[in-house]
Amino acid sequence: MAGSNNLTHARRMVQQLKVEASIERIKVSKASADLMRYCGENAKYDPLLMGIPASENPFKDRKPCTIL
Amino acid sequence: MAMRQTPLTCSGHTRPVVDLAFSGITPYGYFLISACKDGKPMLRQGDTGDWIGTFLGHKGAVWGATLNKEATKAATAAADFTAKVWDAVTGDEVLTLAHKHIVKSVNFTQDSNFLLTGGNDKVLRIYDLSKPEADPQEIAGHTSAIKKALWCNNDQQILSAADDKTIRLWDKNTQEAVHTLSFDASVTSMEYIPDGEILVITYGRTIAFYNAHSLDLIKTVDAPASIHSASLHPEKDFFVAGGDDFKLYKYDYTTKEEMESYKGHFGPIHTVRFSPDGELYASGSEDGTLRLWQTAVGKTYGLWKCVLPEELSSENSEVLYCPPAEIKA
Repeated sequence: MAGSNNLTHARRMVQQLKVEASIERIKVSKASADLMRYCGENAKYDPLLMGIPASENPFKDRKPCTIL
Repeated sequence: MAMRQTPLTCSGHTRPVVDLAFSGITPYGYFLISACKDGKPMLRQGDTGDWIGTFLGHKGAVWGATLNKEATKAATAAADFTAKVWDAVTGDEVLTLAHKHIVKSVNFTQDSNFLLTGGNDKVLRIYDLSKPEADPQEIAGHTSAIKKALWCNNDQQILSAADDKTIRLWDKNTQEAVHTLSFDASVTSMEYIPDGEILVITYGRTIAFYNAHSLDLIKTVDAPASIHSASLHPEKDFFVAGGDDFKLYKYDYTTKEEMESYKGHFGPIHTVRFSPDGELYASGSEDGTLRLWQTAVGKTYGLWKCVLPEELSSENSEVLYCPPAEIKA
């Protein structure tokens, strides 16, 4: 029935809006400051920034292997 | 010895930003509203640029937006032939005022009781917000689309700029034009400074300052490029202007000298306004962003903090600005 379809749709919308309304929000300036601080503090643990020591790199170029 | 400054870039709009307005200074600070062609005007905290909310309801590009002094009400003018009044605290639409054509400009009186609108139907309308169903008072006279309409001289007179290349000063009660200024080119923007009764007008590459009572010319200044908008500092020390070359120019009002210019926007600047305390100015551009710039580069204010370079060598005597790690909410 088209009637109950609309009702279900509306109920789902309300549920979705309730979820969205309860999301914790902070100001953009605070969020961007937090992000910058996180990146600054954790930069030293990031292999993409700091590089991977050659001894631990499984993908480094190896000398050709010859099988006797 | 120009110091580099990092503007606060406010993103969120998806189309060009065509108008912006500040509220007065309220106990909660001051606020900024931006009008955008995406139809969704946004309210932001004035000193940090933090997004507070978006007014949803218009069905077309929003050409004009304004806040009342206390930042409790907002008004917007749109291409959907309506002007809307909003509750700026809750974001609810309070009133929709139907017009016969695109509405370009909205302005509250000081007591927020009356709203002035002007647009492409060439008629100025005054709405009594305490009697919204009543017909507005209409003032006709312009021969083409009105770009900007402002209350002035203690809300007793109205200034309007139109595409007919005139600016007219009207008496609110007699509804007659008291003065008319004619130009060779279309006026691109108009700002009224109540304290000092100065009118700031831009056209072509010129920024002109007039006495708001007599419409006598005070002075004109020419810029390197076509200017779309200019704003005078509350203390009348400087004015800023922006236009087609994407740059923001800052001039000394007394000497008319260009002091600084700033690059940052990726498109022509459509609107620029000083904050009510004069500590920063905001610019809105074709690139869809608003940028907040410091007036006194070097001062700790809002999100700005003075950062000196690590080594003070003779060449590197700049002072860098960046938002600090700690922000007090």
